[in-house]
Amino acid sequence: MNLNLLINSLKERWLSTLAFTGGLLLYCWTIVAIMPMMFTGIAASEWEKFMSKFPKELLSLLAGGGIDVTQLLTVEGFISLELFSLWWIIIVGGFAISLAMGIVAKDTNEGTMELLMSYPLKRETIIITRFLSSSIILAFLAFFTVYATYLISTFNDIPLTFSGLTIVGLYGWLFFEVILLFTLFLTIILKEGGGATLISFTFFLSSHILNALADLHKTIDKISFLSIFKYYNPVQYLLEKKIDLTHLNIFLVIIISLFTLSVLIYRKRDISTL
Amino acid sequence: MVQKTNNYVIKTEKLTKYYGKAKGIEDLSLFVEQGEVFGFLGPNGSGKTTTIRLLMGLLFPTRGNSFVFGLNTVTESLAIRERVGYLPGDVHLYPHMTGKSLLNYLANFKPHKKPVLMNQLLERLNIDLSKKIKEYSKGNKQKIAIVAALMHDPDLLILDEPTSGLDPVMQREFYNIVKEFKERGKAVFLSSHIMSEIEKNCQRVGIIQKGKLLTIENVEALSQKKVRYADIIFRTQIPLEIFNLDNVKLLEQHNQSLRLSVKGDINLLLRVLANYEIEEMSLTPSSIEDTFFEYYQKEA
Repeated sequence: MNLNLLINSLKERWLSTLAFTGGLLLYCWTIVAIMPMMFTGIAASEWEKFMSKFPKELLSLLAGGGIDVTQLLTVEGFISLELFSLWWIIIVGGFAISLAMGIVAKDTNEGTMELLMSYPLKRETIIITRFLSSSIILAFLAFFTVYATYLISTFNDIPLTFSGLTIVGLYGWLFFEVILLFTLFLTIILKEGGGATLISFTFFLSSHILNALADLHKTIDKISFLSIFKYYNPVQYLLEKKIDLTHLNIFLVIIISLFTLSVLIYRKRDISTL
Repeated sequence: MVQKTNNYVIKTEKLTKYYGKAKGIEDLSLFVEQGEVFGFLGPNGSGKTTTIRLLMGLLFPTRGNSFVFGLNTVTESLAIRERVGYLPGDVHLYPHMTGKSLLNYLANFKPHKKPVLMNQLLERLNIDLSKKIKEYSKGNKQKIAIVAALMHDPDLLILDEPTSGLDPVMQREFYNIVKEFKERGKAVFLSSHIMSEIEKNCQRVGIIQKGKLLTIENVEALSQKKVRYADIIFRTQIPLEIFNLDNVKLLEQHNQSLRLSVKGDINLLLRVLANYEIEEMSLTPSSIEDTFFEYYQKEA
């Protein structure tokens, strides 16, 4: 790890991180603000009747796997559906992809990697340091979102627990780390950024679709274990308020594997193009 | 088993790099000594930058070995880069940083060495550091890259096309700085495709073409092998057979006017010419460039 590189990497990203922080705050506020309206004057039976008018596939796609429409009338179900299960992952996941570009692909594409590598820095030091700076930013965004949600909901007398939200924050962060490392791995394998972004985005979108449709078709359900969304269930974390060790282990195995492979491959890479 | 060597600042042994099937360099062996400015001359795409990147540990060789300060460029490149100032051929800097913040950022990558020459270099190269990099001209970006490479007072300078984008005044100042490095016993590896730069500033020159090192010569010795052009107008018609000399080639003939190329020693030709009446004669001041192309033609 190189402190000079770490500080510079964080400095480079502070403006965009600030913009995302502001955006997430506004989004949390909006979702928490409309929440009370959902729980006043709507009977569960009316709600179910209303929701039955929509195709199941559409509801599954919008809600993500593991969420029942009736759960929308619970605080945990609503906040998960509207914030944590999909849209949060898309918003911060998109930022994680751009952070992954900044680890090695951007410097390689712009020719500044040669300048950086003319100083006493190992290839693996660059990856590890930049990965660390990206992880700090993603952890900040993940925990900022859940604690902002906690504070706003507390002010509005909405019963969301601190421990439940902290666990959501932890799994959200791990999910962002998977997106970051998967994209980083692709940039190293493909030796460029554009294709890696596209493949990464397509992969996570397909993963969501696979998980969302698993409840509807048996065949899809059989292969739904391949979807990373299968191991991320914010409603469960908010309700049970405890860490799911299976989910945690799967995330950790993926993160450690992708990180190790990325470092091992990059340390043998030439710094240049022909 | 290849032995480490401590005798040379740079030493390569059959250094080879392939990019897939494409050849970068092949079997390149050379050395550079302490206190020497070594010129590395070749056209674009000849393998100069590949060689330099191998020396810096940016590329991994396909086969062969290279050492800088006796250290292996593959396994000990970190220790090498502590002592080397490197100026890339294609300078890319961080566009959103100011000149000052960039140099401070880069200076901190060598925490054990202070950028002792930074202020002196900034003054001599006349750079304003307050602007953002993206606002600088190509020449000013080059100057900042030069300061970045030299500010830690490195023991070896590896310079790839260093004067690219610099105006003539700055080129002269830059070579004065290089000369001072040499006088203080530092070694310089200077790659260029501009022959006059090499001729003026280097002691030895390696000529590379299509990834192969054609020759290494003392610049002085190479000058003695120069190709000169002799333009002669004779008063009378003369037999052309007199020019059947080993180092003389008849290039053009128009009545009594001739253009000859003479490689190396000119005295043999002058002795032949002494037997004939000459109206006018001129010898074009030759450069190492002609010799350079002579090598190319020979290889081709």
